[in-house]
Amino acid sequence: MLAALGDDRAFAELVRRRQSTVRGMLRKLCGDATLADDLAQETFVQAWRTLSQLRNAGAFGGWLKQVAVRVWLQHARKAKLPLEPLDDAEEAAVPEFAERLDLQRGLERLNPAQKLCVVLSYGEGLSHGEIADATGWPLGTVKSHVARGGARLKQWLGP
Amino acid sequence: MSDDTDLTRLFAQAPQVPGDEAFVARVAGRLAWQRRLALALPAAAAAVLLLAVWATWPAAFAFSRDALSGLEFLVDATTAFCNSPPGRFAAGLILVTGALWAWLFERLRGQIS
Repeated sequence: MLAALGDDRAFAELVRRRQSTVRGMLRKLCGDATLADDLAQETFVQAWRTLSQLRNAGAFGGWLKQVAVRVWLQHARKAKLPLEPLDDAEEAAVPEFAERLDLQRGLERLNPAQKLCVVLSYGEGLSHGEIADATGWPLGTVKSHVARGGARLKQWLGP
Repeated sequence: MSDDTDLTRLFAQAPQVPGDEAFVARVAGRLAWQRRLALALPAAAAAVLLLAVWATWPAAFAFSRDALSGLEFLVDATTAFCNSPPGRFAAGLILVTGALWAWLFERLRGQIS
């Protein structure tokens, strides 16, 4: 893998091929194209710095998603977004919406931790175990976020 | 929404972000900057160190001399200890312990695998 050996053109080609996936995933998470592109740039910079740690070149796509998740979590902690699981009272207090929402607006209304798990599960096709690995959260928490977030999103998006 | 496949389909239908050469160029620019920084930082640190030595020359000289003589003393003392009977005994003990540990570790590893 030439990019891992410091070949700039090879890495630029990787950026060219993978940018849509990473930017798309981060746009769903951020809801703001400019911020998402900034975080996507940071993702590729961090990937470039740690590319030598990647053992299997075939796993680059999944590994890059993990880097993107780490970058988004760093941003979320800096922005003090609530990443703790909601308790039952808070969960019940999430408002209902009279109008039918589109996907992006529905995602924006989810709790950030649930949004991350839902995007990774339904949008990126990651298994619960892979999400737990990427986020560092317990498997049970991930399953709960996917189930509750998914159910809420389906409810908001309508039949 | 009937089941999970509907959500998956909805995500798949969401508009894709088109490829953008300006984005690739911005990433390349940031990488070039990081590389320049990685090259410049050690040189800058060396320059700051030299400047600090030059600015505090008599004190820096005395500190270096003391540190080196301290190191020399430590080496001399270690050599003298290792040449003495208790030192030889301690060195032998360390060697035997190391060999015993390696042997036990090998046996343990054999049992595990």
